[in-house]
Amino acid sequence: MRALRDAVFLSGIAAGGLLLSGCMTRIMDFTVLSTKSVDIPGKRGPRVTGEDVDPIIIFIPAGQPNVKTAVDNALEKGNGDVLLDAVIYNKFWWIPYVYGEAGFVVEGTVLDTRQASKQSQNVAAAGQARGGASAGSGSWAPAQKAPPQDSATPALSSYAPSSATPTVQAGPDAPKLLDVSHPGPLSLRQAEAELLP
Amino acid sequence: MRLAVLAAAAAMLCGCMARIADFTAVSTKNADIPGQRLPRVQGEDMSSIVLFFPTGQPNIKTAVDDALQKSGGDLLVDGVIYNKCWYIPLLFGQCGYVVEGTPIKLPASQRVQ
Repeated sequence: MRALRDAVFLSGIAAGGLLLSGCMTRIMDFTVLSTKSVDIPGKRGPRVTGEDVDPIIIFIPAGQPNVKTAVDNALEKGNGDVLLDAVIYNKFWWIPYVYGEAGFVVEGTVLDTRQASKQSQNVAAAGQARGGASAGSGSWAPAQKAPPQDSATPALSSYAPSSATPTVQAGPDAPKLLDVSHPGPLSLRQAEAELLP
Repeated sequence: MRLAVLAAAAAMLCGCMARIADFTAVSTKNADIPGQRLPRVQGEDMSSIVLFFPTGQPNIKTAVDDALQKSGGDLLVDGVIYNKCWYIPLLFGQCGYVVEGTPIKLPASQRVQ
């Protein structure tokens, strides 16, 4: 009797194991995601909606909607690279055996971080150009180039501007950016004219 | 006859719009986020299925919160969201969401209290 009970139990477990089902599906890839209140530097744009909706013809879906495509569409519309305060909806409607639509809708405020990073790069390059000049090499060097590694000139990584050197700050009150792409000594003079009080 | 079919179809019309997740920031493009990169982390929100009763409603937002909580970061970059499910019929199972990404701790000035 006990052997029979054990056999039933074991076969039940075996059947359960055979019927075991599982899967892991990739829903979405993202480059930035947060649920916390964060202040990302950039230019805020309007609130936009992006969607990826596919039709259902009779009862056959004509595609596989995707959250990522909906986010891409929203960013494309707003010409930005991050959506702030975003909501993702799943949308569905269907007139049975006639027509319907299913997909994802994303709504959010567009933020353009590219402008902010471009500004900070320009300001950093301006700071480097000024740093190279105040190190006293006497000749102009491109802003992107590291200063020569001799004992008189400190390495770029360890360089700290002296109190006499004005510090360039990023942000809305930052001084007007200089054109570091301009070649020659004119660029340096331009920098001094614009950055020095 | 044709009208009756159309009327029946219209009567059976169904539709819905469900909120899947809210985020304070989301992107699929390469954005330049300043901050300290922390080790890659996984967060999940899983609910059990006992016999055939689900014991909860898993949520993507809770999975993201879990990942940020584990890492102490403010943002996740270069990440993936997975839907995970396994079930031994009429016994037990689990379903939910797994979020994996690289957390970023923003400078204190960029954290909104």
